Amino acid sequence: MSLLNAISISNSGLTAERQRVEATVSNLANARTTRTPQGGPYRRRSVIFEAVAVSDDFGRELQNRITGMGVRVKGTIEDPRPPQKVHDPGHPDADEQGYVSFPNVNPVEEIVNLISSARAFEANLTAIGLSRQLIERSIELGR
Amino acid sequence: MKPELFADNVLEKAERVMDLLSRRQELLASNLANVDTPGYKTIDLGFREALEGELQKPWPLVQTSPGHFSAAAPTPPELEPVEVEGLVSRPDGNNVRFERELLQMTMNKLRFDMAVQWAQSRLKALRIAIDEGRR
Repeated sequence: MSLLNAISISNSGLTAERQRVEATVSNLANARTTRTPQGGPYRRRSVIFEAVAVSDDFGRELQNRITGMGVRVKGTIEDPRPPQKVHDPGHPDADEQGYVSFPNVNPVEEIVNLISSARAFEANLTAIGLSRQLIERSIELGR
Repeated sequence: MKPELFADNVLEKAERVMDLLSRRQELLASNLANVDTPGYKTIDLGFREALEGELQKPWPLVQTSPGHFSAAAPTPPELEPVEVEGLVSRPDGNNVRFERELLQMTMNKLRFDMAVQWAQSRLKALRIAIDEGRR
């Protein structure tokens, strides 16, 4: 039971990190997008992680035992930081003062997040592999 | 009267160890899944020293009749998950170090393999005894 939970937990980690990657690559792709359908430049997106119970074992809840927690994306928020203003009067999206508002995306920050998500993803994959091996060993024991 | 092959409870002990390690694997998986969750604190089984002690303890006495004395060695405490001490938190409150979790998982698996070996060699001895007994 614990081992099956462990796999569900690791799986939730994979999903959450994947969603974080999706937000990150969206930010990178739109780092220079000055106009959007909503008007104004692209606004950086980030995901909020929260720990959640993945176990549906009601018996455990009754015993009030701390179990392992999975993770999920609580929501996606727009970064409240203001757009980066660059003086470029010739640009089609320049305002009256000649400033263009570029997205509040810092490519360095996004790349760091990308790498961090990638290693977390790998770690969760490794965890699933190890949990699976423990289960397989247990099964082989009976043979 | 239990035959000699059951006298030292290897199978029981192996099962306890495997159960504990499975629960630990779940907690370690939880830590890894939440490596980027703000405010999450690393958890692990408490009384790890007790776990180590459990592995080295002498075997408990087997009571096969009401007249037998009960063992002085108590049943192991319920090893409840606790927050791990001594880990530095990052600015978002998370203190998970994923290299620690991966290392612990690997050690976990090795211990698990050991317990499986104990159980397997005992089961093998049993099978041989059964087969020999048929002749």
